[in-house]
Amino acid sequence: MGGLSGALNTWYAANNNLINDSGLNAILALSVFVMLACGLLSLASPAYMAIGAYTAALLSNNTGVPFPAQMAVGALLAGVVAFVLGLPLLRLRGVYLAICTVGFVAITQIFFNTWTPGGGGNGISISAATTTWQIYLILAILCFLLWRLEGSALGRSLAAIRLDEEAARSLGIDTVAFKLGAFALSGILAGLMGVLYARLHYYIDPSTFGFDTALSALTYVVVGGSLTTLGSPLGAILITALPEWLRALNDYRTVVNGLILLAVILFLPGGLVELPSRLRRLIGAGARRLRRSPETRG
Amino acid sequence: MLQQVFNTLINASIYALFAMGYALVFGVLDILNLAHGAIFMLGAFTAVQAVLGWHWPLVLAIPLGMVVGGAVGVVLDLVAVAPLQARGSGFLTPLISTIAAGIVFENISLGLFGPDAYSFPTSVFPQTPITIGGAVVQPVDLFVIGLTVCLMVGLTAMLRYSTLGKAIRAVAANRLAAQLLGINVARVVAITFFLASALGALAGIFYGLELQDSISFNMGGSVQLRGLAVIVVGGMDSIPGVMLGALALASSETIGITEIGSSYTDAIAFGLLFLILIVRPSGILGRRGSRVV
Repeated sequence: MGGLSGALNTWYAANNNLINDSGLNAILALSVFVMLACGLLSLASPAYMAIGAYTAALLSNNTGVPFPAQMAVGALLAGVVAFVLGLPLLRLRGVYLAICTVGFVAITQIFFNTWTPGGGGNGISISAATTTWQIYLILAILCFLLWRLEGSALGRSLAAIRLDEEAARSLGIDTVAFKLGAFALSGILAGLMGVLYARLHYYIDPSTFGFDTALSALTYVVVGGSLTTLGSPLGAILITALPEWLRALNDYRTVVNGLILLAVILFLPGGLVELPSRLRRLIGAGARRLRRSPETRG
Repeated sequence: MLQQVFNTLINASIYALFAMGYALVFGVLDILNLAHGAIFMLGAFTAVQAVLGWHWPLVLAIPLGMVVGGAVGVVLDLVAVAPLQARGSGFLTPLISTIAAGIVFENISLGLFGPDAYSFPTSVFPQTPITIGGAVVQPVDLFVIGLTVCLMVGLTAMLRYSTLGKAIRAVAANRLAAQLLGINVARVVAITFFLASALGALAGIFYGLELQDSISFNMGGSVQLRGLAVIVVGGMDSIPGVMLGALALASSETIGITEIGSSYTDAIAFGLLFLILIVRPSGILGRRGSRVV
């Protein structure tokens, strides 16, 4: 017992940055996932994350607002911004929506680069407060809520919008309200993640909240599996940890990292969540062939 | 003033060549190729390696860079795009697979050339400035602008009149119908990737010729976003649209630097992008439902 907890403690001490970042990236991936759940490809999450992070920084440095309240304020503020952003973007689809949200991320990043209260391009320091158990408790609650949502009437309405928006509307689903709701929820999740991120890393600067982060978040979702809630956190945790596992490969590890991503996309179209059922089918097919071979020989 | 016009034209040429690659692939396949920035980088590295390492003249190094870039584009199509298209997987998964391929390309280049920034030696081009009505222009600038205009005109003519151009347009209009008419769709798509990537590689070479110490493994990032802005502003429909979009972006950047200060140039570009997408999602010259080729 003591040996096990000792080993766990050593493992945690060696990997705690990775463990924390995996959990945070999982929340960011969920923020992209809720948009994809109703067929919207948005890359705006880093901008919402920035809003949450700077809210946390200013509140901690200038006021006595407690940490949980900062989470609420950051998440709500980002949610409101996302909702307002959603209003003019409702008519855009597919790649056009994606590019427009990339534009929004670029504009937000430039804003924070020149915004003196946030330190501009130099960034701003914050006292740390986020702990590992907080990240994973929040992640677990969010996964549970979204998983329940997936099976509910609300979730099925979102899926209907994803599959055929016109048909969903003709069935009486208020597509505008659902899409705006998805925008707001995406903003809330990424804003919350931004608060946690800022108070974990002591220091934030605008370069974090850009296009690269947006592409990473999207990659987590698609590699994990964009059709179920659990795919996004799974993808985020594996992709965040992967470069560390490949450490033994030294110089080649980033290349291998890219190749693994490519292989998952090519061979597991539904994402990593599909892996167990794929393997079962492969093993099943192999077993059938084995069973059949004596007969054909006889 | 005239000087600013020339600077704008140089940037516009690079943006137009780069964005043309996006537009060609998007026109034929309806997907965004996010490895295009990495191909831009590979083209520049190939040419600079040929000049610095193997002492080739620039006239040979440029075509080599384009051919290597084009070949990488074909490999990208065969490995990361065609298998996904074959099972009809929409636009999202090819987007991610091209991102992954871009990561691989960038890291291969990082492994081969290291993190340093390279330049073409100044001796590759005559350094005697030419004065045109008060503006001082380097010969290399005229070369960049001239070749870009020629290529754009040539590409337009090729797409309109040649058999290959007609086949590309047929595949863009209706993949299935084109196949039924006997067009080898997979081959046309591969050729489109070759053309698009060769143009992207040339844009990278021009970028390296115009800017000192600009050739590095992550040089594609700065152009990637601008290329997206160009195809959105111009519409993914037409070659004139792409050229107009490139001019609009380059001039807004020039005006931004001279009038407001350089820290806001990107904000202007993307503010413009944002407004146009909201007001006219199909771009300035775009028509809904039809695309570049």
